[in-house]
Amino acid sequence: MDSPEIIIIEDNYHDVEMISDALHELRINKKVCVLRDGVEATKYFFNSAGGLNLNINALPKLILLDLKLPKISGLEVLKALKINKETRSLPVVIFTSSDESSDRISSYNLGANSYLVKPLDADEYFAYIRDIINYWIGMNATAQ
Amino acid sequence: MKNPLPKKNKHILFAALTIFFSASAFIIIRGYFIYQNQKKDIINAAGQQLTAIAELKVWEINNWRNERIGDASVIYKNNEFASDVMQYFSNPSSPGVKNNILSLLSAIQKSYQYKSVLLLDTNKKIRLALGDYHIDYGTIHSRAINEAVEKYDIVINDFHINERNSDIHLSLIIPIVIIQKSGVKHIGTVMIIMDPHMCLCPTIKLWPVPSDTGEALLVQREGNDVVFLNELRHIKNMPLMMKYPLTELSLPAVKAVLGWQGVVYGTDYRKKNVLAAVKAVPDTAWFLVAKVDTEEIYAPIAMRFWIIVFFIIINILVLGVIVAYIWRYQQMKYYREQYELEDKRVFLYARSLIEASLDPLVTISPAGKITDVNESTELITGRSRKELIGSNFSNYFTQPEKADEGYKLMFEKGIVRDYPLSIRNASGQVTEVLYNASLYKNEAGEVQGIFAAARDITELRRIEKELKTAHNELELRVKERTNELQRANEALQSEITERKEVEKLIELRTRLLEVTNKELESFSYSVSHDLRAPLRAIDGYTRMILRDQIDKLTDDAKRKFDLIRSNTQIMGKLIDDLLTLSRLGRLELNMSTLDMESLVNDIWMELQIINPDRKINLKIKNIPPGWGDRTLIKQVYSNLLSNAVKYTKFIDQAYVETGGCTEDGENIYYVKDNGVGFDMEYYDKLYGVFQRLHSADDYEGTGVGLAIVQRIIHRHSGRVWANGKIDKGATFYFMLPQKD
Repeated sequence: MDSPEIIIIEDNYHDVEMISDALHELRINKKVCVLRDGVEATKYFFNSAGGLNLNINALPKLILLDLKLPKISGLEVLKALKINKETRSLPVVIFTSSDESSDRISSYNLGANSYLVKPLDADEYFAYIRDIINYWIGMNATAQ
Repeated sequence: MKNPLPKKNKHILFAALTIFFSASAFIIIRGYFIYQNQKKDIINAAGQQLTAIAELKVWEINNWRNERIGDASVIYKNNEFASDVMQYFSNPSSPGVKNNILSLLSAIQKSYQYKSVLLLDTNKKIRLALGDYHIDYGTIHSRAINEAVEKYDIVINDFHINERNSDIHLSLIIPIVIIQKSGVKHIGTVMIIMDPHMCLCPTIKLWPVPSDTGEALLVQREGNDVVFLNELRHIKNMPLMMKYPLTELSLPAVKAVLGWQGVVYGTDYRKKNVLAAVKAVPDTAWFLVAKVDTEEIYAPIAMRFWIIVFFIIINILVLGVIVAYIWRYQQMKYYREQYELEDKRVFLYARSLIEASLDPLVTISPAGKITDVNESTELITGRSRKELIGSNFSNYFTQPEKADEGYKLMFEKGIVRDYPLSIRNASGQVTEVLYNASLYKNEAGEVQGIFAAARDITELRRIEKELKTAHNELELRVKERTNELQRANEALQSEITERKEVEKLIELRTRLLEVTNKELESFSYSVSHDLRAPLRAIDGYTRMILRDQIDKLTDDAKRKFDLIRSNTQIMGKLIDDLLTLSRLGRLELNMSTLDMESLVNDIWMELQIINPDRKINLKIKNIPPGWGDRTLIKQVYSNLLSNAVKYTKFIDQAYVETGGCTEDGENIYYVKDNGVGFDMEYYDKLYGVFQRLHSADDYEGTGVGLAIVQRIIHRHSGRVWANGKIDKGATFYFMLPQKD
């Protein structure tokens, strides 16, 4: 099985490295794919006609989505994911530096499964990643 | 002017209407009585006619009876016939005698068309018979036969029904006797049977005058009934001998048998109203009823009614015309009187106006002689009315020629306006006047003379002069004032221009400020966000180094890496506070009434949880409820109370007090502590962002707390202030306006 189970949509290189490091520290051997902006993310999932761009079996188990993305914002990407029938049920965790309640409300309204503010403290950061993985992938794994 | 007369006018109208209506009523009542009299006459006449008819009928019936008895006389007391009968009874086979008897009886039967003629013996047995008969007639008429024999007279038997063939008939019973010395001997009876329809009824039926409903009835009483004997005019195929009970009193027939006589009203067997004459037929049990429908009697009355109504209407119309004519005449007379009065009044009014005029008025004949003057003319000329009238009008002017000229001009133009002349008084005094004159004409349009009015202008001239002086003066003053105003106006204009420029500048600045504010907000927002990313990276990488390279690092390096990490957190806290501050400007206030005491209690509880090692005495004094945004005011208390906790951390017996009061629609709150306090010299730096009055090493914090407090209170249109002294504690106040 070559398709990635975790998709990280994040433009900040340092955040990508920190998430990857945390996954490594947690010894999680899932295939991870990093998408660097909103356009790249949209193209990964959908073709120009709005249909699914990849095999239904190739859909990931978890999407970590930043809101502040170049070109197309994270909220737009979230909207596209939650409108489409095939991708609607994918768990999308918003992982952002914004603590604005307006962002929080918009995300939940569009169907985000979780909204987490990136903490400054690196220990906390690690703990967040651990909890996200445990909750969204670990639980699914035990269910299967 | 409006006529003051409608009242009298109303009286006239009222009188006319009263006459009209009372006369009309009289006519109608009179008509009614005439009608009633005529009706009575007609009914009386009808009654008389009926009585006459009834009498006639009774007479005819009597007549008929007498005739029948006369017929019977041929046999009655006929000795020859009696001896023949006797012979026949003793020897019936003797043909001579039988033939004699038969020929006589048959002659009687034929000549009067009797139904049958019977010869009975003393045993009432039929011995000889002619015509239609019944074998038991002898027994049927036994009572009548006995009566005849007893009386030795002819008996007419009443109407009765032949029980065999339900025929009605009358019978004539003639006793046959022989007179001997020993007395009268009865030897037999002759019985003549008659059909009433053939003999009697036609007589009754006949009505002597033309009538549609006239009818005569022959009735008799039978027990409790009245029986109609003859054929009725209005019922075809009537049942034989119709009967009605005596209780039907409305029937004239019933009245007749009960003994009424003369003319009666009633309802006949057809239930029709009738007028009837009833009369008993003498020597019989019969009664005669002669009746006519009231409808027929009233027919001519109805005709009379309409004729009377017609005459009433004609009378009323004529009366109406007469009354209307009289009313009109009265009205005209009245109006004429009024008109004359008004005319007189108008004349007096006009005259008094002429006399009341302050201007001298004159009328002048075409020949130039004065014909009329008023009092003012007498005054101005100083001459009496008597003197003036008839004199030449030009005599009284200083320039008689000019007066004549004006007079001629008058006839050329028909009118003269403001013609200047001077009148010389009898005492020589001259008055300047202006003349206005016009021609006056009669109805035919012929010129009758001139009507002229003079106006004394002496006073006018004087006023004119005064006015001119006043006017000149006024003009001068207006000029001066106008100049003054002009100067003031110019000054005002320049001031307005200046002010407008200032306003423009203020507007521009306000707009600039708004833009700047907005920019500042978005700036601080994005800066706060963008600053966090590198900090996160620094902390993240430091953590990785500490984790991966822990074996290679010296203790000093480890300590320094730890310091990097703690400083990163401080930086993060600073950014967070900055974010809060920038957010405050953008938040919408959600106002409500706040229970400040419970708010303080909640926060104090949280603070005790955060600082479990601190034992601080908190005293809450009276705190009035406030009006504000709950979250933000909670933030205010949170910052002030946590400051109080923070700055008493080196005090043995830490004490914090909070309370408030209400003054002039403002709620004032305070938080007081006995901590390190502050130097009032630096008071102006107290609320600055990132401003600290104490070292961060002793008292952790970013220096944004009080700035946030100030920002929140300002957004509530309130004020903040503070009191303090180094090592003597500090008191922080904030004021919130009450709900308006």
